[in-house]
Amino acid sequence: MKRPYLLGFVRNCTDFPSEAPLSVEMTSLGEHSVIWCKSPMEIFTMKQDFLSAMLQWFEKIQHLQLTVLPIQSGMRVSDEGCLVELLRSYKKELDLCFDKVEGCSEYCLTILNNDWEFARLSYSSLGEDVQSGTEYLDRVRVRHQLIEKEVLKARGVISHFCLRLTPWIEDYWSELTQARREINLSFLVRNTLKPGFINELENLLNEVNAPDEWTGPWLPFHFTSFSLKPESFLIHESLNWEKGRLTS
Amino acid sequence: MIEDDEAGINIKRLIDFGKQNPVGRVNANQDNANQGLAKLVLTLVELLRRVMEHEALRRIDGGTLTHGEIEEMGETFLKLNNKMTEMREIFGLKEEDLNLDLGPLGNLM
Repeated sequence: MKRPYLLGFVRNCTDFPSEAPLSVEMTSLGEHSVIWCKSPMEIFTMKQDFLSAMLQWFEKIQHLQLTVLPIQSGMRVSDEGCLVELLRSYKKELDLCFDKVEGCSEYCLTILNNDWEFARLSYSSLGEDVQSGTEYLDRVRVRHQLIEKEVLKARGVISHFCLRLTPWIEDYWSELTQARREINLSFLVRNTLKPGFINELENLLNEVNAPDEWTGPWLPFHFTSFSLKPESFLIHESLNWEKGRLTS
Repeated sequence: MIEDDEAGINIKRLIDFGKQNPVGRVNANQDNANQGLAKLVLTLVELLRRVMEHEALRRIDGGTLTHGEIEEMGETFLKLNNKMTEMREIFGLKEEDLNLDLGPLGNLM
């Protein structure tokens, strides 16, 4: 039995490109459609090949000026019959989400923390050559203070970018990477405001000596706020692709 | 109706800027179940250790501990630090391996 692997949702769509290797199908209910393919593990040997094919397909979709809500991570349903029920169940969430991102694209950038020094000091190294318990705790304290300083600084950078770009953005998403070495930012930009946004973004990036560190336009991956995921997925490992563990 | 797929992907990782976060989820495959379990257990111990150290600093700042008590507490944490390093080495784990990817919530530590 074919178990549909979900790729995303579209609204008011009647047709879209579908060609090998990623043969995409669509199931509709009213104005909403869910787009899906059969299990990628049956088609692609490597996960990366699937991801590339999917991004290429999303790129083609973008040229059609469709608003697509991409699904961030692997989801499937037990059979095609469930898809209509899925659309019915999530109708309200889909409408809210489409209304938010309709006519918008996402742009991403990474800002390196040039003053990043402390993050290189590993937590376990705090105990090296320590002469006393008090000294160890002092080191832990200093580490905490430095982390706090780095986080505050990162928040300042995020705030600076967002304030300057406010006239052109609908929403933003930010993330400080684990070692606080990089700040990842995504902006939801109305398509009609793209030129102004890009111009100001490049000005900002020039100011931090990172003129080419942006990508886009993307589908609004970071702004499709509803989740189809059961919480168990959060601790679910999705390795073993290359071992060909087929589950469909 | 909705299931996870083994092909689970995180597009954010793909598009976000070409640099992979080294933190992965717990690998609990049969082939390396021991290491996967050790990683999970040590991650939780590491989390507790850091929480306790944080609490220790808070108590020191509260001024309720004597110098002797602070020294004793510091020595205990130091020993725990060294023991954790030893355990990681036994299971071939790096410090950055001791973490959990909580999806949209970010990493545990």
